[in-house]
Amino acid sequence: VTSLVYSPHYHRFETLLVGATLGAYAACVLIVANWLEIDEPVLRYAIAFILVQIAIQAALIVGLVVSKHARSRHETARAGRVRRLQELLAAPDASAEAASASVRWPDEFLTVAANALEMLAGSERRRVAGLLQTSAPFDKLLREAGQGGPGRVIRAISLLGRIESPEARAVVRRAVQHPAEAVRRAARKAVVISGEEDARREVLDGLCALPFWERIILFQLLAADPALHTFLAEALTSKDDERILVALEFILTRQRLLLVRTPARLAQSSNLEVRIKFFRALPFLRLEEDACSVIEPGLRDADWRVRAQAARACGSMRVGRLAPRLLEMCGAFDDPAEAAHAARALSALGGAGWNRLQEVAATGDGAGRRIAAEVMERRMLAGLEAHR
Amino acid sequence: MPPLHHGVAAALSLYEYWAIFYLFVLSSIYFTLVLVGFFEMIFHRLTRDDADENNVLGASALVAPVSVLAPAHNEAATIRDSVRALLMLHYPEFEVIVINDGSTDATLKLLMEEFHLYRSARYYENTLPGKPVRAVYESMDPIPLIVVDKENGGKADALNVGINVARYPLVCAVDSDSLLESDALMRVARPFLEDPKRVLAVGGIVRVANGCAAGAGRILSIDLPHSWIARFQVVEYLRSFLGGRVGFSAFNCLLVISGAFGLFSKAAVLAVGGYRTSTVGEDMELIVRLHHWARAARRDYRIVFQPDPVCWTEVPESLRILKRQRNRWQRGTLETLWLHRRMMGRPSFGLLGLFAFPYFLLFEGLGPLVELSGYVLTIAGLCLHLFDWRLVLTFFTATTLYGMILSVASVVLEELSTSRYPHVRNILLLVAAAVLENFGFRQLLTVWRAQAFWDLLRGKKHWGVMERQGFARARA
Repeated sequence: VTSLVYSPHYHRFETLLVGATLGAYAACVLIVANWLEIDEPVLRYAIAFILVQIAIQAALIVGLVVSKHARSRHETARAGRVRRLQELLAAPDASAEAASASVRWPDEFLTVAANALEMLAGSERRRVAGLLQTSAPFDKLLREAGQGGPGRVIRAISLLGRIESPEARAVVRRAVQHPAEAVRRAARKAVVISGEEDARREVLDGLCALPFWERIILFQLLAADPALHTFLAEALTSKDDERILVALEFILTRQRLLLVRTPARLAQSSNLEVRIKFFRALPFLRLEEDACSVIEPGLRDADWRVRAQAARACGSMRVGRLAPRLLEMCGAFDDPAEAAHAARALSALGGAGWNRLQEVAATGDGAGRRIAAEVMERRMLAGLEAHR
Repeated sequence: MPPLHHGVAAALSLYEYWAIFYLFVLSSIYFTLVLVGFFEMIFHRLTRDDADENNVLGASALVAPVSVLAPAHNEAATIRDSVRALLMLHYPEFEVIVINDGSTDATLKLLMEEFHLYRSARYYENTLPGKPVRAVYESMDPIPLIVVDKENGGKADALNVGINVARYPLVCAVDSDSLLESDALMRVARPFLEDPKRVLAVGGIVRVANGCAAGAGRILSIDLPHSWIARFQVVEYLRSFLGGRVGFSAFNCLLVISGAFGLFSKAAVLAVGGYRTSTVGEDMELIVRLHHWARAARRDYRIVFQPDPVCWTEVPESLRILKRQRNRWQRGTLETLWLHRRMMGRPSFGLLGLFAFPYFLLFEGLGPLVELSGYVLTIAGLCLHLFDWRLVLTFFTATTLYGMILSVASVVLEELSTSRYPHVRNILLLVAAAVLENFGFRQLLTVWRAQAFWDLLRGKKHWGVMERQGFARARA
């Protein structure tokens, strides 16, 4: 059943399943009606309908109550076993006991081991990983990752992805080609967390083809290493806008200074989205060129969103030489969002920009005055907060 | 028997059969929706319900920021807990905008004291029309809280003002007397992340908080309410959200996203002109207008229901307040259906015009009238000895059992989806409520909803007062 749910055609099957259930229901009513000995047909079908209803309801209620009861008991017992295994895993001298417990309670052992591998680091983590690799459930896990249903494969590779063993890595790498998308997704996550370099490289190369939200998840999980740096360097210098956007998205997600050199030509890319994201990511990029020369065209871009992001970068990077242009943007107040970014940049730069803001707040009118007042208020409150 | 008597008996009998047929069709549609909901829920649970992924997404700066709008009118009993709960949401970037809609109690004073508010110079534009704003306040503490104090104009007006003040591309409308679970915003925003170009709005599930223990803006332990009226509503909410809405959402025909918890694309809401202030069912009306707008523009879009983002709300435990609430909901439904009657039966609106809209009109809008007249005529027919009582009893039993199976199936869906009720005792009580609601409660609701027709014809527009007990009561 789970294989069906993970299938890309599930929604087509779903319609069939609904139809089949309704058909089975109608068939039950017809069978019971044929079995009843009532002459009046309307009454016969109505009573058949009632009998089927009662049977279904009784089955649902009994099933519901019994399963809830069984689940409650199972969960209580399982919680006890998990606690015991946690104690055993926490004690370095209880390895033999833990190994024997893993044979008795393989599922619970795998759950505890997965949690431990996620939370621990260093020698303790290596000890737990070693214990897992020598335990009986490990072989089962490898088998499940290779042949189990999608649900079991996902669970297996999520755990195997945390273990630095060649066979575990090979299994995870194979899962990247699994027919079910959910399994491939889990495998990609496992690979970027601790896969081999060439496997990570393959996943990185396929990033452009993945949906945005999945890229974000992978960006958060990726470890900073030479493979990532090579990928980013190549992407940022490539002519492919999709790859450039993926690299910029990565930088925006991580919000950390990037040591890879970024070509300044991106500031004047023909792709609007590249320009917007470039200026948004600019404070985290390493440029060979002077920041002023890179930002200046952005402040004069045809699109207000680019101008707004360039103004924001100007404030973050403290490029005081561009204050006159920011003043112009602030003076016009054609677009409130753009003007607000320019005003915030001026406020960050201080000096003449700050004086101009005060002037606008005191003597200006309409949107300009209100934006300037808000930006000044925020700056002063930030100072107060820092003082507190 | 005189010929006139024969004629009346035949007409009554015909109407009786029609009413029974009607109830049967209604229950069959609902049954189909519950089945669709069942299979959708399994799919969702196995392929999308991943708390780890949500945690990872919750740390990313690329997730679209959200402005949470909480209109408040005389909500002094719950406002502090609710705002605290909103501020504790797990989401990368969001702001909470509380709109004090001309409260006459201590709502604003409590907010100012609790969150150290100051009068802010925040810039906003009056893109959507609304009653005048007296002041905008922000917190001196490093929390993303904005309080808008405005003249009273109703919930829709308050939400429009909130949208004007909002700065982020997604706006989340919540009731200020509700509590959102900490991951609710991340879960409800997930469809926007997965399909940002098409998704216009997402609704989450609203659950009954009566009986649960709450503290510090959180639901601490889950239990069923003590009163049967509230228990019946628990079953009703489960049936409506997990059965009906999951099914409608699967066909992109969702006509209602609860006003208590819904996330919208701000651009889309602005494009359709915001909330309509002249109706009491502004939540449903906005969704229908979004459908209307998107279909008319031949836009590829989705309006989605998500079964796992949870919003806890207090439901009425007194019949007087429940009557007011249901009367208002029914009037809202009828007004919306009337306002968008052009969509009815139009093939250009797809399944929405051919199935969802007729369903809402025939079964949600006119349903109470048909059901009530069915009850009245059955009693009249039985009193006049025009019907065979055995036949009437058989059909009554059949339709009642059909209604019950839907409620029981909804409890099964609850167990499948989030399984929030921890004890077997809870399940037994829910099943009992699913059975008992058919004997009195359902009929009472039918009478109240039918009464809404009369109120609508009389031009009744006001909301009525919903008296809140406050979540503190749940701790006792």
